[in-house]
Amino acid sequence: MRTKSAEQKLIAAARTPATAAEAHYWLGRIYDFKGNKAEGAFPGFHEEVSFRPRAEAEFKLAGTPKPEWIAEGEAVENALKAADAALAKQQATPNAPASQIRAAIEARIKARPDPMTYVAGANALLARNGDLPFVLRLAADGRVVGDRFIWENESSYKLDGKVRGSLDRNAAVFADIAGWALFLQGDLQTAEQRLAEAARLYRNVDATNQLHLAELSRKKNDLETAREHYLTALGLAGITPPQRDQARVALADVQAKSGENPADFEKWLAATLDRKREERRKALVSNMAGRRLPALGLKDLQGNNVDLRAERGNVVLLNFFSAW
Amino acid sequence: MKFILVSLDDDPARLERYVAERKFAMPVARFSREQAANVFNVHDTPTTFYVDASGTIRYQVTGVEPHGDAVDRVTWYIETLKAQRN
Repeated sequence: MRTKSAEQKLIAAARTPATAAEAHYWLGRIYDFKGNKAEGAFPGFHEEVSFRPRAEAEFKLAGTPKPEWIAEGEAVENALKAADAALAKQQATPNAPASQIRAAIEARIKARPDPMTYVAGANALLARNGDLPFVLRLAADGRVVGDRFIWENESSYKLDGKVRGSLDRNAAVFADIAGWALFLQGDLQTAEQRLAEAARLYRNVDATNQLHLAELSRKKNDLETAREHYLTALGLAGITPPQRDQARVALADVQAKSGENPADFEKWLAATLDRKREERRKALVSNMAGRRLPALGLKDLQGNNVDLRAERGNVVLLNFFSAW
Repeated sequence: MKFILVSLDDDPARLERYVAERKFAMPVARFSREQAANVFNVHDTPTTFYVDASGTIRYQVTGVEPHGDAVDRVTWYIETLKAQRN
C-alpha cells in the first residue's frame, strides 16, 4: 500500500512505450481503488469521486489487460490471504508457542508490511506474555510503518485533520503496546511514560489504554490514580464486557484497600460514573482540538498587541489562567 | 516556539500582584471570561491549547492531568508538535 510512491513510478513508466500499457493498467487499478473501493477499506479512508473518470481513462490507455498482469495481481492477493490465514490460525490456537506466532507474524510482514499486522501480532504475543522483546520491536517498527502508510495514502483521508488524527492514533496504538510490554517486563517507569504518551494521543478515550494505566498505578500502590483510570475506562463506550468485569473487580479491590465499605460500592460506582459522564460530555463539547486558532488580536497588560495570526509557522502554547 | 498567557481575571489588582510576583517571561494578555467562552470555547482555567505551525489547535488540556510530571508533559506536547510535518 505504498500508493503515492507506486503512483509516481507508474506515471514515469507510462512515458516509456515498452512499459506504458502495463503502467496505465496498474494506475487504473490504483485509481479504481481510490475512486470506488477505498470507503472504509482502512480506518479513516474515503472514496474519492474525482478518481473514477481517471481510472476509466487509464484503463482505456492500457487497452485489453494481458492475462499475466491480472495473474500477478491475484498472486499477490493470494499470498496475503495465505499469510493472514496462517497468522489467524496461530492466534486461535490457545497453546501456540511464541516462536510459532512470531514466525507467522514475520511471514505476514514479509508478504506486505501492513500496520494492522503489527498491532494484531503484538496483541497476540502480549495476551500470552510471550517474546516481549519482539513485541517492543513490533511497536517501534509498527509506528514507522503506520506513519508511512498514512502519508502514502494521504488523499484517501480527504481532510488534513483526519490525517493528523490518524497519525496520532497510530502513534497511540504503538505507544500503548510498548508500554504494556514494558510493564510485563517489570520496567514500570518507562512503561508509565509510554502509556501516558498513548493516553495524551488518545485524549484519554481508549479503554484498553486506561486499564493499562490503572493496572500500572495499582502495581505502584497509587490507589488514587488507579481509581481515576478504572473509572475513566468504565465510562467509555469502547470498553468490552470482559474488560468491564475486570475493571469492576479491580476497582472494588482499590476501594476496599482505601478503607471504603464494600457494601456501598455499587451505589458509589453508579453515582460516580454518572458524574464523570456529565463532565466528559462537557469537556467533549468544548474541546477545540482540530479547530483553527481564532485569529484575534489581544492586548497584553502594557497595552501592546498580541497578534495570534502572526504566530503562523510557530508552535504556540496558549494558556488561559486565573490568578489565585 | 511561542508562549502566550491569557488571564481571565475579573480583578485587575489581583492579576497585577500575581504577575509581579511570578515575573513571567512571556506576554500576558487579558480577556474576559465571557469572551473566552464565546471565542475560544474555554469555560475553565487552567486550559492550555497546543497550536501547531499551521495555526490548528492540536491538543487541549483542561485542568490537571492525573498522571505525569508537569514539565515533562508540557515538553512532550511541544516536542511532538515541533517534530511533525505540516
